[in-house]
Amino acid sequence: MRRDARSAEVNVIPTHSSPGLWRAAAFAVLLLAGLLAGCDGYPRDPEGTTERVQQSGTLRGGLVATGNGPEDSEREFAERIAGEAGGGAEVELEVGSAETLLRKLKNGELDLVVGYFADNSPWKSKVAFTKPKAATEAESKVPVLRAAVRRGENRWLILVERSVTGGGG
Amino acid sequence: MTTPPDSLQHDLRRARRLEWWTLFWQGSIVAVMALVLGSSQAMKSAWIEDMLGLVPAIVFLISVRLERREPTDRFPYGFHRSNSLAFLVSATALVAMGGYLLADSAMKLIAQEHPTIGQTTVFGQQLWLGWLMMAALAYSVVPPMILGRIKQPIARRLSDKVMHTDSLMQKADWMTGLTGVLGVGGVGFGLWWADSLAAAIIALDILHDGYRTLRQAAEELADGAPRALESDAIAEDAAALQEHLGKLFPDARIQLRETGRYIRAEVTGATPPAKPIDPTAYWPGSPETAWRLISLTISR
Repeated sequence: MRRDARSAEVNVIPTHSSPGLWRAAAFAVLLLAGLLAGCDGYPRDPEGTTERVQQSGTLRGGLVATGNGPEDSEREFAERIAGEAGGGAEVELEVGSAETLLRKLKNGELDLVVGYFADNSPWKSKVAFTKPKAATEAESKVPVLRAAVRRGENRWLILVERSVTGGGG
Repeated sequence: MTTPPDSLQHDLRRARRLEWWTLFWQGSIVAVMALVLGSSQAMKSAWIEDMLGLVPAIVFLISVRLERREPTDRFPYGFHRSNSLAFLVSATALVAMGGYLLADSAMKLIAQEHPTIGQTTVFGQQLWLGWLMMAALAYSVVPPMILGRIKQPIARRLSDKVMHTDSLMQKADWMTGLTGVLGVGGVGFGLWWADSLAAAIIALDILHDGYRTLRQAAEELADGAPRALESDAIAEDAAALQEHLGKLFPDARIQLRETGRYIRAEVTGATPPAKPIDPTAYWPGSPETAWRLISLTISR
């Protein structure tokens, strides 16, 4: 291969992607993957919601008032989640407006909010919604019964979602 | 003399093939990322970067095509400057990528945004979406790492700053991919800041490369003396030429500038030779690189 001596001198300086860095990076990835493969409590919650609910046996829940009827099925829905995701925890249910409850959820004063929310709810960027209870909903604008948890509490989100969609947990 | 000269044609063909491959692989990465993205915000920035990463490859292909054109009445100097313009555009893309990444991750850190990564269903199995993201990000590391390394020697031989900037873009791509893997992995450990912090650190490195190339591109368009490929220093071959011409024309004023991959020299205050000037005869370096000096003007 033709190569000019002048620019060959410049080559010597490894400005980037040196083999050492390459190997270190590959090693780090392998190490991480190996560490995680057998890891049970993964992913974890940054704020430890799952642990707190399961250890204290109490789930601080919120129920968005529907304005029609005694809301029995909604209460039952929240209780089932507490039982399955919260490891048999009891629910302390607070009934209120979406604005109040979701703000509390966002600030970590609640662990779970149950209510009717659309798939494209404007609250989506503030809290994490689960899939709907009935998995057959096609329309994203129609509010359906689902649960919301605090953003970033990924283990809690997974457990709640499994309970909501009935996948067991 | 045809431009680019025949001796470069082989490398230019390889360069064009490599850039087409870059478009293909980066395109596949964009597609894979879009699949895994779901509704998650966490990967959105990685995806936007991958789109930005296509810019240098695209402008390289356009500029190489333009550069081959013969001069016209409207463009009497030919189209060598298309390389300079492409350099400016790709350097800008690099700055934009670094700037976007830094602003995005800094804002997430300040807002203490906890990345939400739920689960998904793959072939009937419930799986944490983070695993898929890490797999996609790991895939996004491989092609740029390989392509960027192959491009560097070719960019040097072609004196092509666009291609060099593209290899820097590839470095930015694989580094963000790798930190993305570590970041999502960290989020899984409950470290909500891991992803953004890793991205912010890498962003500084990208911004540094971007700033340097953008400055070089601006200097080239402002008729600065030819700069080296990998630093803001005067190119070694240009410095040698300056010295050589200085010895040949001791009392003259010697000005060098760079149009794309070519050097143009003007010697003012010397007696022009009676015969037509062949620039290659004045090139002090190896004859193989004499194509660099495309024009030499000697006047009183």
